Amino acid sequence: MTSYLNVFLLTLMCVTFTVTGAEPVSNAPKFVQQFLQDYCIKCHGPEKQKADLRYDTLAYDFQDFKAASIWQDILDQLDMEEMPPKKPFPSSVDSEKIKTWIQQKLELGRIAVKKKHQETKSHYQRLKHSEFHNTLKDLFDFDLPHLDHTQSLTRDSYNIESKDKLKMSPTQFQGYLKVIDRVLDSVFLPVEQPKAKTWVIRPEDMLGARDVCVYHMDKHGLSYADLFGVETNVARCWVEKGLLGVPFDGKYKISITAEALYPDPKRPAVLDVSANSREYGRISSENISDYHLKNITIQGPVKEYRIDSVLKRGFMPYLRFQNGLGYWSQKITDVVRESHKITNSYLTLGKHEVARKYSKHRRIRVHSLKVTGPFFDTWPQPITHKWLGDLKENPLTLDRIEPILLKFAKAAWRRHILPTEISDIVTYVKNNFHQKPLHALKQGFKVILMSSNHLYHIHDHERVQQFALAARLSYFLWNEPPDQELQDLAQSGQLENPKVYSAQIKRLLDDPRLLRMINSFTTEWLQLYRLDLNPPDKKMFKKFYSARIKHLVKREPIEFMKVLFKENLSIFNCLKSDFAVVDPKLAKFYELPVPKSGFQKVALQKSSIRGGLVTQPAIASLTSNGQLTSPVVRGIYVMERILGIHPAPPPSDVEIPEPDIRGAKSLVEQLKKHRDQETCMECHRKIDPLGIPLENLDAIGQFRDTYKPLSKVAPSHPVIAHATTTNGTNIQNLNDYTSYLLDRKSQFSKNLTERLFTYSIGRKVSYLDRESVDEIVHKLTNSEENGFRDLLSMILQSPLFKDF
Amino acid sequence: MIDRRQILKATSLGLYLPFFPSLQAGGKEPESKKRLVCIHQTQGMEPKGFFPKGYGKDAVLSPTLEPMKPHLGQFTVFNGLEHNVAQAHYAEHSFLSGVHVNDAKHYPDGNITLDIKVAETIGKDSRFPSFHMAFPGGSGRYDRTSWTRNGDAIVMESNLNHLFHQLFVDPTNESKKHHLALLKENHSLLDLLLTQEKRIKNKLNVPDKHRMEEYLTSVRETEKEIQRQMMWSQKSKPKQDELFTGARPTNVKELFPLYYKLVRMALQTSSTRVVSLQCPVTDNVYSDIDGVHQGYHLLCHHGKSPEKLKQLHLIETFHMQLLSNFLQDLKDTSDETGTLFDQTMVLFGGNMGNPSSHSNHNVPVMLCGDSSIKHSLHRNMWKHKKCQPLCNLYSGMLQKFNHKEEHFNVSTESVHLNA
Repeated sequence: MTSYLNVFLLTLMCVTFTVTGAEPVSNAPKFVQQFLQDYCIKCHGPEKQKADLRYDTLAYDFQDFKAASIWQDILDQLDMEEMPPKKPFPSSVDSEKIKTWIQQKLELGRIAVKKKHQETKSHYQRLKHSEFHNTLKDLFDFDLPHLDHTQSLTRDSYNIESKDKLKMSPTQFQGYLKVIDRVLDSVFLPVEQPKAKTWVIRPEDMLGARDVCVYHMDKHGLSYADLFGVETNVARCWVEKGLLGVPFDGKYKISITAEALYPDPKRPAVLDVSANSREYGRISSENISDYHLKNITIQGPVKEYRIDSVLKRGFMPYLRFQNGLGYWSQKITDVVRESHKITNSYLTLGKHEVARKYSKHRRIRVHSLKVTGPFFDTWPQPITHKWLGDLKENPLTLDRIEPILLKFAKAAWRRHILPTEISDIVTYVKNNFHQKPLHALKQGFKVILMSSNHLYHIHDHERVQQFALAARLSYFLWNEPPDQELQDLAQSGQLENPKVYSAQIKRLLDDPRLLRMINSFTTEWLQLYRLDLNPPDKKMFKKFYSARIKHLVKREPIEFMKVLFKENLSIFNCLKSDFAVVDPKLAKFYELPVPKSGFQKVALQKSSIRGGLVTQPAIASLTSNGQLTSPVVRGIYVMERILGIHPAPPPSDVEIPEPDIRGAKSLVEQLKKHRDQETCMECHRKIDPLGIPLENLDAIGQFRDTYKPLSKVAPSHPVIAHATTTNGTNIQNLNDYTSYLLDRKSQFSKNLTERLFTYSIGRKVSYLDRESVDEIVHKLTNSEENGFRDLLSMILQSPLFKDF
Repeated sequence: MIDRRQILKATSLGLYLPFFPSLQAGGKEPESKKRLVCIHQTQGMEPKGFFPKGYGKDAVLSPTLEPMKPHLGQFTVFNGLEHNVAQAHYAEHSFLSGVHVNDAKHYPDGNITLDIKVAETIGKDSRFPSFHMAFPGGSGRYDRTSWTRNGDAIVMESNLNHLFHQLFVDPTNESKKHHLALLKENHSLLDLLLTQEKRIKNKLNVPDKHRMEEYLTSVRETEKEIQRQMMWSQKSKPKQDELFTGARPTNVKELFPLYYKLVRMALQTSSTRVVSLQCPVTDNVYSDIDGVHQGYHLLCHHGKSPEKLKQLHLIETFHMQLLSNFLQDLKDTSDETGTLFDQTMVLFGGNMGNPSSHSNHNVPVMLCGDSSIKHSLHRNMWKHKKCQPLCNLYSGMLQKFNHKEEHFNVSTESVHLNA
């Protein structure tokens, strides 16, 4: 019953919100009502509610978040002259009058709301995943490759996109616990150096042997695994049976007994030895916890090959035929079936047995794999030494517990702490000390890491304001906890001193660690992670894969932003630039002058389609489905990501045409039809012109003027890529397009500024924060001070960042 | 059953005793175990091909449903159900809850989904209270089927090997021991953590306290989960033959049936009583089906082109054939109280009424199996020319699972399902 009542009350609340809010708009001054009546109500009133907006029932309340946000939107639309879209247009006098009025009302509302806000806002903010990982990295000084893999944690983006603050949940907490356990296991090594041990992995113990390779147990109980192919998910064997991987991080000797059969003298067989941990997911190209150990060339009869490698705890080596056959199983079985006419045995034996028995194709035959270790250069390991000292010389005693834990807690909680704050933990460790001293201490570390003090940013006023500012600076710019210098300044209370603060900003910006921020901000802003969701089709874009530029394409926008920062170039280069930032491979692919090495600035000719962000292959590719492109998807992308406009989602119950490049109708014709429907028109008259000109770029960002047909028989259609924007600008080609974007500087600056703020303070920027945003946008658009580094400094100096 | 009792004694987790129906029965006839399988077809079904013609006795099988012919009279297609969440693709995730994730905070149970709600009661005596899988398709994670009451999307695992190992392969004794020791340690540390953190909470202002409560709840729930894992880590998993020998099939026609086979094996061994299975969403999955040569998403937005509709129907019929074979498999498998088919409710559907127009109205829903349900091929659910909340059906289903609550999320009444 209660739930029913709740639902009922909720519905009631929703209905009453617009109708009876605080005061209806009819209480507003006459000239305001008149203005709305004359220019707005026709489309946003009782009859029509375009874009889901209705102004006759809008609350005349500038302290209500929802209503005030709508008033702000009205002001913005008038400012940009986006609305009203058709005649009659208001006179400039009328327009100015109402704009000034809304501005003043909003200002008063903001002051009142902010005061209320200060009293009711929470100072707790959960660490983002990347921050959590970097904090652990910082504490334990070493790089754990598998930590980048967030598989055990729920995705942050869900929470951010639902406009909720970063949430904590049981699943989330269990993910933290898993990662923390894993890290502490690597750090807390026994006092005595562990003895080396040997693991023998037989071919039948390799999971791949069952999955993809071919193995055979001969009369003497010997077995082998045949590797034929190269695919990431095919010719790999991996260790499964009961083995959790090696027990300690350390150096290991790996020995492989193998032979090359039916060798090709021109291409000696190369065996790729890499490491994988089952705990962090299956072997695949996307599993970034996998890491490469060594390539060995396998030649001649059975031989033993040895390599020395570092293995992380839980990892085991696996093998892959690096230059083997692509799509091997199908190819080989087809050949065998043809030549042997053995359809029957094919049926009973299965593809792999057929390949093993009948094929004469070159292969690597692996007989055994041995791993021996761990071996250490020094003991104790430096990381253990950092927190515990040399345990042999200075064994753990009861009175060492508190200082060790205090030192660790101070670093993990990123602030000054009192001994009473961890007294419970100290007592616990002391009580458990006698059985296993080191183990007890490890448990103390674990509780400190699971504490809210570690998992949350605490922007607390009275206690730790300066520490919070130090942490905010450091997490924003370096993506890691504050270093000693920042902590010391916070401790002595000097960080708030404007001179000291400016000097710190300069120091942080000059540090190479800042590039991390550019990396993760650009990835988040431009949604570069989408590149992995729909990679370009392998058959359609062979050139893309043979040029081996997949990872470079993803890096291009990031490197571009890095150059803007390093040289403090104008942010408007993002819209259109006379240079590209490319490395030799990309330059060759784009047919540009080739730089010597690495990513570098390369000047562009005026007619070039490159320059700016939007025409980069990364964007062209992530807005496609790997094969086809859609002007609607691209239009929305540019609106949201570049101009910061969020079109309403499509209303349900409207037939959506998708580009069909072999159908009879042209795409532009279809879209035009689409725009003719009134419900669609409202948004699509804005979206389509921003997407259609990009039709000149295919799914890997190469120029095209005809669509490549999907099958050989289908006719190819010409690309129609000209469009007229809402303000009447005619766009004929990509060059016109980027020029058009360049005209919308203020929208772009506002968008980039807001996104940087959101990234830095961890919450959405609302109309309440407009003062800080507008001030920066004004500077960017009206002065020469519009470099990317300038913008970052402005953000850091802004009260919105400093006072949280 | 004795081994269970012994384990309970050994771990002294008497807490779990009442949830073993077999122990409760005390030598009487074994009680039948109801099970639930939810198949989430995220992109919905093309409505003209899906819904049968006519209602009740006059109903005629539709072309898409043709493969379901052997099960006539044992499944029901509902016409006239929808969620009041109309946000095109952004509403997909609410199929089993009726609540958009952004609105979750307004509801007492958040956007909890049907499968999780059922698992909260009948799942307690299984190794997996609920089991979540997804057909493979494209890379990247796409978890849009099952949500907890805390608003977490549950990971839909699609790796067959991984799924098989979770269900049927025991870790070595050594790693078992290691795991259990870790669980015990964490259990007592969480106790300490709670004492430590509660002290902080008392000093905070109201909004901070709220945030802290969210954290403390997470810690407490984790503690409970660890208790559960401690019990199960000492019990052996049932043994089953491998799903396939040799190479893993890559052709969807061979590969997809293995997922259904795994569902059946999981139910049969009582590893779980609630399974959710998510259908693929990405474009290039179905090219193995003869006659399909365009991307799935593209075909969903067919714009009434006959060429595209033909291909879309091939994909949808393929799914119906899979479902039909799965139901047959359930009929052929029995436990001590009857066939799995008679004891399992199989829900199939999605939150797209018509994907071509991004419509979330009158969504495709089909309920199969469970001998206690009165089935009729096509059931008219329209009321005064309006669709009923889909949660009304879920509420009716929950009552079959002996749920006492009158409502589920946004339901207004319960659909009567009894024979």
